[in-house]
Amino acid sequence: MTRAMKCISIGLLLGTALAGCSNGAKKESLVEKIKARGNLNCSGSQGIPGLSRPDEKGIWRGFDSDVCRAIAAAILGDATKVRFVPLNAAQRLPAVQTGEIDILSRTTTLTFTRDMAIRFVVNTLYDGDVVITRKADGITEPAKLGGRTICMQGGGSLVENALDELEEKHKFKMKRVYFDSTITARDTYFAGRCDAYVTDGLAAQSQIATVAKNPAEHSTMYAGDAIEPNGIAIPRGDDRLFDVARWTFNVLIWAEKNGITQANVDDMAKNGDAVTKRILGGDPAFGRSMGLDSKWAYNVIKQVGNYKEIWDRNLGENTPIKADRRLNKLYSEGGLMFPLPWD
Amino acid sequence: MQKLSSDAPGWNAVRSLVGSPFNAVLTVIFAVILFLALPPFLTWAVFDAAVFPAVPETCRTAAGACWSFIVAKHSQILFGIYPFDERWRPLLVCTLLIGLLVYSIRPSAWRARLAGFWIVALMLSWGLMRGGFAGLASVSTDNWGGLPVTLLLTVVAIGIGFPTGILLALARRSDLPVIRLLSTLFIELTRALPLLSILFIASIMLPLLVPEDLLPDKFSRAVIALTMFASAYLAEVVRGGLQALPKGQAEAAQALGLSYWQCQLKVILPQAIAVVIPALTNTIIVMIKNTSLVLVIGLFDLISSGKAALADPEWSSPSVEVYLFITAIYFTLCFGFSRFADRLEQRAKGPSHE
Repeated sequence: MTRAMKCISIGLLLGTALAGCSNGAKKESLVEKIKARGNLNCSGSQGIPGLSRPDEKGIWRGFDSDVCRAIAAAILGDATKVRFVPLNAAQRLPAVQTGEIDILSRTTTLTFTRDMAIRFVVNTLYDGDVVITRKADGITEPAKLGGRTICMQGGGSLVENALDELEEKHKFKMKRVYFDSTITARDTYFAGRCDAYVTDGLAAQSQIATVAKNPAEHSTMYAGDAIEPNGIAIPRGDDRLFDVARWTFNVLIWAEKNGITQANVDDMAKNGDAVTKRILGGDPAFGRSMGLDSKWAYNVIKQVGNYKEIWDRNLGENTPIKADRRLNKLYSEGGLMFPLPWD
Repeated sequence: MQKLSSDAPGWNAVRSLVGSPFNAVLTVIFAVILFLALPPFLTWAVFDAAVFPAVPETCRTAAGACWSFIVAKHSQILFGIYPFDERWRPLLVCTLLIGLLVYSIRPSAWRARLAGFWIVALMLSWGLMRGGFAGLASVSTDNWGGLPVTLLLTVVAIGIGFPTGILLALARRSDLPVIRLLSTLFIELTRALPLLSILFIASIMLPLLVPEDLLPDKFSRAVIALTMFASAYLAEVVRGGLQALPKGQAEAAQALGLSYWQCQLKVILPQAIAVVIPALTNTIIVMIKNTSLVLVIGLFDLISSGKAALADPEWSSPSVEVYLFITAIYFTLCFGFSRFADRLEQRAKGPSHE
């Protein structure tokens, strides 16, 4: 009896789905919708240190959250007009597909499969997977992980790949213990349940520094040589929003490269070179092709700051995270970040 | 145990502890366990614990539990991501709901107007949380969090689910075939799915199928999913009570000339529900705890808020303390409710013993 009912209900659901497809007529860009709505719907998380987490006052802190603010500043001229929608890892892609959020900026690695489902715009952070172990156990290199228990968050594709490769290369097995969040996996490792803990490279040092009873007892190593490119993503088929997101991020990198900061942006807008003046609002036509105000880039820097400022505020030396910028440095300093030309 | 001895009042306790060899062995085993477990726990939780000042350094140097984290973060754990300046609103909502719960426990409060109080209180709570009128800033349900979410989900799911469940139970026993079929269909379908998958359907699948403008927000979808689930389960519990009643009750009521609804409301339901109070309590306590499942769909209930608080990189991560704190809240809610149900049961038994 229940089987028949299930069939009926599945039939109904499919019917509704088809009906939903057929009325997908010509649609306006989300940029227009965001302007009409007066706020940007962006992804929150369930708490990722340094990237996106609600603080005691309910304000979202972190690199990913600030990228949302930069885009809000570009479109709406006000970085505070962001509505953060808390999402867990499983919900983040459907949330973009269903229009629950406009921009996904929440530690999402760009992969082929994901890029077929939603549209990745640009890589905002390059990260790698780090294994934390206890020095006393003598696990000094990944090759010595055989037979060890590893605490990790479930659902991370690249971590799995890195561990699979290790197992294949060294012909051993590891015991993987999965958790619903990095926080739980982390606390479990530091409570002594596992021999090792795999996490994002950016957060590794800070976790040892703040969570470990004795930070000197732990050491880190990279799980493999894969890079995890974390990016921002939008729904597919929205070129206008793609433009805005890509070039807003470019403003952040460009400003860092040219030494333009929150503090000196006013001065630069008046006394900078011709290109700088043009980008910071001197040319009334500059934002027009994207449907933005001519001051859009100025607003981004003035209200949120350049890439380095966002980094320093959330991940840098003066934060508990103290992450190594490594691949996220400018190309001129040995990293992978470079501004695209404005011509 | 039943026959009270006329000896000293402590005698009963002594006899139940060491009255038989089996009891004596059990007593010794548990005494040893307590002796082994309690002192280290107390040392950790009380004597070596750090409370003040509520700053990260206190935790780092603490040998025992780090309660200063709870002191520093209680607002975040209790209210999640609700805007800080507006947190008097969820506080008021919690006070209102808990106050009304406590008020509802007194048998003298059980009048028809209590239902009215609850409806007003729920509308007031929703309005206060939501804002957007009388100068209150509007706070979308995405930003609701912590205890008020747990309370609202529980109270709404059970408050609507219980009457709906009664109607479903009556419908399933109805003589009208269409009504009977629909009710059976709903109950069996809902019970055949795990709550988690209902929540996933509500949070992830519905938005893919239903146009954006027609879709209620995620919080409301979770409320609806939980209410459906509660009503299906409560319906079956109530049906159990209905079946336990001798047929003569309904026939006698009919013979007296009572209408169907008079018969159900005045004769059948009061007896049927009294029979199933323990089962109802069970289901309702399970529902209180089920609300914590909404964390998988990204709502900031108590547990999510606690986890988000733990994500603060400034602090070492006292997760055990946070989970104990949350456990204490859930225990208070569930234990409080089971006491309330006990009273109900006593009262339901009352007249028949006279």
